[in-house]
Amino acid sequence: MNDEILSAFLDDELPPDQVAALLEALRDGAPGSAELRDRLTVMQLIKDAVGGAEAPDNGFTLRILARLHTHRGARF
Amino acid sequence: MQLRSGESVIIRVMRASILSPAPPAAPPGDADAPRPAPASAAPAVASVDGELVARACAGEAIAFELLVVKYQRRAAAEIRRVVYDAAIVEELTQDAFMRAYDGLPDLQDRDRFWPWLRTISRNVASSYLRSGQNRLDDRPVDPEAESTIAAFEQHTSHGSVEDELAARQLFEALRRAVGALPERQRDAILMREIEGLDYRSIAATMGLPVNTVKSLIFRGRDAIAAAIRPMLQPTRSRRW
Repeated sequence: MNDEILSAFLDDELPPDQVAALLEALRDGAPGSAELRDRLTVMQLIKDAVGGAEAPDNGFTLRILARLHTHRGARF
Repeated sequence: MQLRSGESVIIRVMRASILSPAPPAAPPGDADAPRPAPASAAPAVASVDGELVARACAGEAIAFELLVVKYQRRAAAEIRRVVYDAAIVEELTQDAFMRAYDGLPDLQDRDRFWPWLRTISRNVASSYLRSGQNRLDDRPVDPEAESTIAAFEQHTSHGSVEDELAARQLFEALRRAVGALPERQRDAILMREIEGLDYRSIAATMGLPVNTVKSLIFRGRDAIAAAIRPMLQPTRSRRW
């Protein structure tokens, strides 16, 4: 999975029929998924910062997802 | 952020907007409004976000995780417009995503997830301000004191001084990296992130093929990532 695909994905410019392959590659436990997630989150941080939202993650996303895990009805 | 060729970019952006006007916006979802009945069949989607919403509704957790990754800062920024305390902003951002998760099956236009989430975020913040839990935020606004209080609260209620310093250094490095990009890469990225133009509109503005714009934006981001990646290593375990 090359980073140009990640970049287009974050810009909402990846054809929807290519999203499935990316999700599969990002899935927890997929080979190389941790490194792919790292590249994706760095690219998203850059996007947000250039757009004016300068905020490091520092666990923010993980805390949202942790709360979703305990949220009623969530399939996490 | 300084744009070396700022004026020409703005003019070109305006021209592209005229040539390729955005489609009329659908009314954003309102989390406080009565929910319409869920559609009996899954609506067709034409975007990445629409695809993610559809997959999240079908039970693919990773699809909703990606929506969180994509929009957590923007949702927090919406809430931060009216709420000062960083810890409360985080809690309200979590609330907004909980409401989004619950309301996802009722989202009529799945391609417009962000406008819908933005409305939810604003509603969550407004509800908080109305709730009476926020005596500090009811104080009269003193513009001079406001920035001092915000800075103080960032240090005291959310994140360590070391984290704040690291963040400041990170974003200074990021801005330097943007400034050091070749002009076409920088212009393409700024048109995408500041003006919110899609690749087709950027291509029309710059007089380039869409695939070239896609490549310029990617290469620009890749160069910025290379510049800041060493500074992000200490926080890797705290990111998705």
